Amino acid sequence: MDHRSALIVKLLAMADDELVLAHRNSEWTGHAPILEEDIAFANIAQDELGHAALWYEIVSALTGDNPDKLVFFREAAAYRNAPLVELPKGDWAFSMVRQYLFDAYEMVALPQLMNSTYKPVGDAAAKIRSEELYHLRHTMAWLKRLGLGTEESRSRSQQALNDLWPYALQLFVPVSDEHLLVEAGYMPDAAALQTEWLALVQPFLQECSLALPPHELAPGDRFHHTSYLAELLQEMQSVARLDPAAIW
Amino acid sequence: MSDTQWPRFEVFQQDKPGQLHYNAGSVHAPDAEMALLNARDVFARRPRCHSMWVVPVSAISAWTYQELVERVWAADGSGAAAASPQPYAIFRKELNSRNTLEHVIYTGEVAAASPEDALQQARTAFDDGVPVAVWWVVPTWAITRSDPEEVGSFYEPALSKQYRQPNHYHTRAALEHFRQTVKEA
Repeated sequence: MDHRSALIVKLLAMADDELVLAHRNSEWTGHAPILEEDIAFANIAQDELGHAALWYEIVSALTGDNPDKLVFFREAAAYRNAPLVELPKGDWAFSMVRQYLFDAYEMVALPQLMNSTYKPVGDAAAKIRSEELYHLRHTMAWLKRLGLGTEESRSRSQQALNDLWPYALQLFVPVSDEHLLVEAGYMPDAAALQTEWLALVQPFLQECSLALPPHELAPGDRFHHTSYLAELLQEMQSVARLDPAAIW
Repeated sequence: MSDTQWPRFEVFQQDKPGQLHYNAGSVHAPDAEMALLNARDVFARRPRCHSMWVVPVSAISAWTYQELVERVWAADGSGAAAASPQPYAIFRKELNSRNTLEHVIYTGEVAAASPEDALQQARTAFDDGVPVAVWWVVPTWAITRSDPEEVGSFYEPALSKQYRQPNHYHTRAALEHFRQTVKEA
């Protein structure tokens, strides 16, 4: 595998993470705990969709594939998102904990991506970062209140953390030949990112009175999905597939 | 029926540096920090915004034009005079029959012993001959302000989101084009 192919896989993984998470979050629209949060979380979902578009555009420049085609006409097996983001939205604690773990991952990855020697990546990361600062602030505010709130909110958050932690760790499993990208300065080293992520996340979770689950990877990876992804895509792609020739 | 809502906070928004904060609406939230985040998401989605304040409704003393006309004021604020003065923020909405969408706008600060004292001072200090429809008086400690350091992450991203603007979609032009196509077919 060469640099170009490795870069395409990596960028697809980044784009697919954002897209699938955006879709899961959008499922709260009309169902969030209060109207204000409904708007806030729909905003965040829309932001993640915008970030996905930025990564897909870079893929598109490399391969000539149309981003809409990548999103609406690829089968689940060809998606490269981490299973973390395809899991059903669960209860509010589950969605908040997932969003927090993902926001924290982006928060450590983006400053390094901004220094990528591959300029389109650096430019996109700079755009995304200012929004992620806000996302993290939002989810941290929620986690504190859930973790330190009532016994019910704490135990639901702990359960969510236990379920999500093994999936969150998969974010730091390199894709095929990712070392080529690290050597070229295109992408940061995943193991170093994980160390930084743990240093950010662990003390905060403790502050929220949430216990750290054991360090175990969940089954599956970016190439082997749960059945939830196919179900999600079936819904997400249904309209576009009704009339593939339609112009939007 | 009991109220199961979280407390209500009034939201004040400043569009550009140097402009006055105006009342954009209200949000519900369990506390001031969440109120500020909610305010940002509800009212600063579209450009532009530079700063926001939130105030719990319980901290606002309000008087309407009608109330002030009908009110007979006590000769002095005997009890209040003993309290040491603290800063109050004054907001007001002008009585303007032509424009009913006038905002409640930040007017300035006074140091006063009580909200009533602050109102009396404000009526003199900020009298510019324009009748006032409503006065809001808020002790400044009750105001939670967005952090100027966070302008970049709080408000600036909205500037690049043209897709949130209704005119981004050129629906009128698209509709015209569609009608034309149908006619020709």
